[in-house]
Amino acid sequence: MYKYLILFIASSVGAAFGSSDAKHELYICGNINLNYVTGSKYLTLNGIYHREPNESYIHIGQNFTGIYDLAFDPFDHNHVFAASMNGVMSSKDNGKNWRVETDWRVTEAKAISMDPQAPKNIYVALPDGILSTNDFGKTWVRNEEGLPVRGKYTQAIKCDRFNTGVVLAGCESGIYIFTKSTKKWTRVFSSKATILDIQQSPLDENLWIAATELDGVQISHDGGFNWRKINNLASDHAWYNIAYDSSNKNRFVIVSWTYGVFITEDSGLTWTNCNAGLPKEHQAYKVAVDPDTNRIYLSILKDCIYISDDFGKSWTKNGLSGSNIYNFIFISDVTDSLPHS
Amino acid sequence: MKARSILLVIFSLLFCLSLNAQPSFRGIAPTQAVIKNTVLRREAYESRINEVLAWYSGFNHKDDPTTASISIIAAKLARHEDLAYCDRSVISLMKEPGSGPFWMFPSAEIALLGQGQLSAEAQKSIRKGWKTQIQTRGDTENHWLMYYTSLYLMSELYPHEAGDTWYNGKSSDENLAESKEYIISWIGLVTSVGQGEYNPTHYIGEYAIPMLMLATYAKDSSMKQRGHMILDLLFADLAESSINGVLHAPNSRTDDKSVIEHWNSLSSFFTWLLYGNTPAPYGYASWGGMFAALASNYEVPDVIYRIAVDRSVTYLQKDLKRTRRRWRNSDVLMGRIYKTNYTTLDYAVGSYQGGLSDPIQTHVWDVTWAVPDPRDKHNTMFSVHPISSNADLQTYFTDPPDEMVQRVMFELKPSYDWEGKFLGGSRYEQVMQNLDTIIALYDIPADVRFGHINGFFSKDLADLTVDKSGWIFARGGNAYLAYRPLAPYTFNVISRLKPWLPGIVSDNWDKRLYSPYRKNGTILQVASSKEFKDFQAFKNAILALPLSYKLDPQPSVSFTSLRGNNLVFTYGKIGTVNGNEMDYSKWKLYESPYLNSESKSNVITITYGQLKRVLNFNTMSITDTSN
Repeated sequence: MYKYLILFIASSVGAAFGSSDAKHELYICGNINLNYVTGSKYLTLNGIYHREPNESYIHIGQNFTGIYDLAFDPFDHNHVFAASMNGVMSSKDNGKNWRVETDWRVTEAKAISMDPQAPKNIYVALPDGILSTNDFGKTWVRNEEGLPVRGKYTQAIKCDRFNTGVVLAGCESGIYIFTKSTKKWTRVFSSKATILDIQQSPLDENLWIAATELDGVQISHDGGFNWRKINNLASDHAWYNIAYDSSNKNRFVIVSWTYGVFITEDSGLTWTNCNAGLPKEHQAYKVAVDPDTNRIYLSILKDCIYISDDFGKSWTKNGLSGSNIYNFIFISDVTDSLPHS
Repeated sequence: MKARSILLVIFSLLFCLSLNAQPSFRGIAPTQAVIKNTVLRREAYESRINEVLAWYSGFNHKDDPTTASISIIAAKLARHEDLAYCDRSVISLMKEPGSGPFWMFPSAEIALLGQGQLSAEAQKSIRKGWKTQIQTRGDTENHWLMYYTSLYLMSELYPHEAGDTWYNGKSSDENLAESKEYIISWIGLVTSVGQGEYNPTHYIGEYAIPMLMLATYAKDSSMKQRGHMILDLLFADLAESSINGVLHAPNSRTDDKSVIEHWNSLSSFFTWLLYGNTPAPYGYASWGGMFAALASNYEVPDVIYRIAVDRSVTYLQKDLKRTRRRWRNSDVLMGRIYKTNYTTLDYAVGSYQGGLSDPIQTHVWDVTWAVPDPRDKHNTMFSVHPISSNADLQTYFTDPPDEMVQRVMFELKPSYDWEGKFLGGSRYEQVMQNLDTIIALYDIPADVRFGHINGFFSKDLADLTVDKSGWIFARGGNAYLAYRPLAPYTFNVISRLKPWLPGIVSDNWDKRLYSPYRKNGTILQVASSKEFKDFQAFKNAILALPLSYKLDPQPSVSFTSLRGNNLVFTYGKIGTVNGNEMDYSKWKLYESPYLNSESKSNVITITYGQLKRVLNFNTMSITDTSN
């Protein structure tokens, strides 16, 4: 069972085990209708797109501008949870139909993460804290012990793939870690402003990287307990997110609205500006790396998805013109047949 | 209104409708006469309702139902006419359902109005829209109230239906329970610590219309009563915050036009309809028709009407409100707003203590003088710090940092990043008000975008003179105005024509006092012309007032007002009046001759002379007395 689980573990954004034979499907949360504002008609399709074998993008399910992140049940990919404008939603038919699982107390969920080794445990990043369930969404509770009364705006949340019960959260006031032994959040990094993304290496369970608004790019080599700033990157403006190469533990990519795309081949010691071929005004919004092919997927706001098959040396437009991509989600095509427990 | 597309539709509609007569917009301005006879007053009210409905209903595109708007359909349903046309129009409109509260409440209102009138097919088309198109809840207080009120009423209309028949997968019973809980929670907040979107010039409709729907259609009598009571509270608040039907500062949210031309807003539709004391805005400010279609089911009580129309007695009103929800960059989720409103026959001076209330559209303070006909009048004076700040937007929104400014400008807030704007509050503005004196101080850090102050000087001012003392004098109607900038400035014609500003720019148009100093301030003293022999006497009186100030290290003012009070105010400190600190901790939810309520009591007493109405939100009861 755990072999398959670990395969699934590799399936989150921009991360997979290179040794796996599993193939991955790509789902995208995003909006094409950039002209949408509350109350207007949807002129184009928004919400979830699936990348087809012929490399086209097919819209799935309802037309909704407010889907930001997805978490797939590793045992049943038809069972999906979404972080959305309306709270947490769930689907039992692979995103075609949804039910809003939370009520008016939960809004604007920014990210969602399922514990891959205990998928009944799901964590949600909220503007006013963190929500979780330990029964596959039947009941949701505020999970905020250890978070400050203020400063708990949470943009990023990620379960440790290798250590069940360990969760990292990127908040306004810093990075927090939750463990099943302490059962509370402990601040492990104090930030000047919001932590925008946290990602764990698929190849090194101790390697975590955080993209921040005003604290540059932070790196941890001990499972997220201690952090240091990567010194040779600018930090005047925000870094938005990170993706890892699944076949080379020393190679990863980070993106920024201001700075564009930077790639390291030596675990962050040196960085290469990889903006050649991209729009001059970078506006890089989201990045991911295909676990199977190492293709980089990059969202440039109001432009389109760009891909790079040579890890940032060159870029090609790849569809979804005019889009704003909130998240790329790769899931393994292998599902575990064991029932939930 | 938020949606550009909706706005275009409205503009198109209004263009077409402008060919039709709209008597209350084009006709003679109403007098300020009080109609004491309640029967006659009701007749006048019904007459105004009928005017709106007749106006909308007059656009009868019988051959092309796709040209219908929801307001036209609502008017026809309210008048029980052209039902076949309504059927066709509803079916046509529902082929492409909208996506949020601005679609939900109009479609729900049509469904409710259409009971017994619309065909089963038309009703079914509305119901289908509520199944197939997911509805976004939005991110503001008005969004949520529209969303949940509409969902509540639709769930009542279609009870006990399964989750797969609704867009959100929840059953009628679940939707009903959640909506009811939210509405009750919101009312509890409003009646204990104050409204978040208080005194909005346009968004008042987004509260009043859903609450009228609730008061009209809720089957649960307690919810019906809640709707009725909140309408009373909204309109009592509007009554005490307006002068001759024109809503003045402070406003949680307004817009670039209304901040200059106060009358030009949806709030004036309500003062026209309910109090009859101002002309109706053009096209009934777009949403007026949706209220009018149900308006016969509600009438303001005598006590609120009298407060609205009687300005013979000067009054001081102090209210407690709250800011929009702050997600980050703040020590509190919702900051307190201490609102002051001093109103006389000739003018009103209103403010809150400064800082951010809403990040984009707040109007912090002004004087608004009374005019016989407010149409095209810019009867106000104030100053602002025109800040543009990603950090401020992040405080209230959850979008990524770098795109916020451009996103906000796209969402019909085009002036946000414009240095010439007059709209918006700033965390670097602090305000003290004592009766009809305002002191506004500014201390803008060097790295903040736009380090200057804009003072608004209306085209409608008379005798504008700059005294060598530094005071600027002017007359606005029967109000004498003295404005003292604390740092050097120039007067700039508003030379850049912006489509969102009212009117056409010319040399005799409004002027901007432009003061490019980060440590800055404004003193405003207002008086009635009746208090002085002539304008020169007013000037002499102002010049004789003790005034000292400094700008470094923080702006600080000591000023003895026309009312004889020594006001000392330093940026970053609590102001003092005659040596006594202003004590905000004692601020009540409402305190004045007219509206009174202890904070967190959920009981509001509305008083005019011997008339009294007590809104008790604990017992959901209304008690009227007239001793």
